[in-house]
Amino acid sequence: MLPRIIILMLAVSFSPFARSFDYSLSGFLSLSAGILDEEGYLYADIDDSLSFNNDTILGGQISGQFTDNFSATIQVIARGYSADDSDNYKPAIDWLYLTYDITPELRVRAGRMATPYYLVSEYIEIGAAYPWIRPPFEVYDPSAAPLKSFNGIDAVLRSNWKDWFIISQFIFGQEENSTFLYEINIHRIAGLNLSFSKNDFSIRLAHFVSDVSLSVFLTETFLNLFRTDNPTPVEAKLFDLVDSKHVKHFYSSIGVNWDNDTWFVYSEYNQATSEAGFTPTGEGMYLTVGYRIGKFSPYLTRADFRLLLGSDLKKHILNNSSELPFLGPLFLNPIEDNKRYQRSIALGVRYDITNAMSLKFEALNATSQRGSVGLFTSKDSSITFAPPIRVYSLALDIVF
Amino acid sequence: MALLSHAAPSYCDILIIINPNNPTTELTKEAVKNIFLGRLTRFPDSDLRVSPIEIKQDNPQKHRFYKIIANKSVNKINRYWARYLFTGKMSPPKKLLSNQEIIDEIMNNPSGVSYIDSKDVTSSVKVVLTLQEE
Repeated sequence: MLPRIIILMLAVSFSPFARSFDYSLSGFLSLSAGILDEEGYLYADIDDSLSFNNDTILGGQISGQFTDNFSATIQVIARGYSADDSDNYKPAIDWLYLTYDITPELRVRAGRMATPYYLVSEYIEIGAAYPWIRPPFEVYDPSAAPLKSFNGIDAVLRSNWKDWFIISQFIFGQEENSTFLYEINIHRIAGLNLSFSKNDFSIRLAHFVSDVSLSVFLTETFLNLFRTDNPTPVEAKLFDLVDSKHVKHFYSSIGVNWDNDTWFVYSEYNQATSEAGFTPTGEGMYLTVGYRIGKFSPYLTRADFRLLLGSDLKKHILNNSSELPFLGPLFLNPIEDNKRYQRSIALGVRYDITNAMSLKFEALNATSQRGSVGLFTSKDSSITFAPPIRVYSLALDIVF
Repeated sequence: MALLSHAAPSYCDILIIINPNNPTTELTKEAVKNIFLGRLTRFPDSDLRVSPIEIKQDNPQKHRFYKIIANKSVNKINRYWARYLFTGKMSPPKKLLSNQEIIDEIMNNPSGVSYIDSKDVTSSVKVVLTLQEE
């Protein structure tokens, strides 16, 4: 309903009846290519043959100002990457929201908006706004930031405290997302983030809670083979944990940014945890240090990542192993296989061709640890570890 | 003649201007900086909201202004706003194409505030701060 209202309002505003209507158009384009040096693995969409799909994004945004306090924004994005390759370059409405300024300090929005999990989550598509080709996966991996956008409301408050400038944002909403592999239903997401800035320094704290039901179609089919009419309490609890329905997920993070026009530093630590089931519990961190020399901005990033699947499930199985002689090992193995550890170092450079156009190159050396595939995906599902892999990426970012 | 040119604002001065009906009589350099970074939402001595306005082009006037008030390059200011422009959390200064357009906008907008070269100022706007290169 809300999308229709917004589109109707925009249509009325552009019509000859509208008076003194201000609108602004902006757009962005990221053309990106990537390749890695090991056969049989994927890093997002990058494999050992040069691909232009991954990270390639075209977006446009229109904001219409109805009155001094009231505006509407629509953002449409076409992405080169989708989970099953069926939606590549299919335009999608990423954002569609109404903004109302209750006071000069307090802004409320309703509609479809970016989920502000981490430091650059809200402008993750705008390559021109950050130094990297892409923000480090160790923190921005979909397991730690599953929703690009959500449907709901937010409130943004600007305030000053001593020498600090503070932006507080509260969000509340819901979202559904499905691919041919899984269906994820976020019944509810609520969160708060606070950003404190002083001179060249800013620090951001964020916490989100969501109530999630996840259906992995293959797992469900598999599970149904083992369900019985009269499960023992221990078996019932096992299925309950594996089902992953209405599980609470928590995302917490702390991020800092310092930029004195010559040197810049970005660093973040995040934790994504869940109450139960197959859903992951992970943590990540990175530190980026960069330096601007004329139009060149070289940077170095060091990052770490750790993901564990179903720690509650593991505990339940291990504590009741005698009562789960068959089902226990059956579910324990996939959990063990899905541990993911990764450590990476990336060296990159951004070259600003003009104010609105930049070229970036990055060489990433990722080492998966403890016999896992890290943040890579193995094309052969029986291979559950990866050797050290180098990923090379090139991107052209334009804003207009 | 030498005395006269010494007393008058020099060619390089940048003037902070507001609507003549705005009760504010002066602004500090710090307040102007915070207004143009979106960090100050109202005029310090009244409840009136601020609507910052500036020239669209990255011209010498803009470079001098950000150099004097914040010791920042226009590139850095553009990077600062890029992140807010697309997130919708706060809006950058309204962009106009000439100092004449800026003066017209300030005359019509009681909450407007902008900066222009002293040579372009007219008596139809109120000057609340004169910035000189240090």
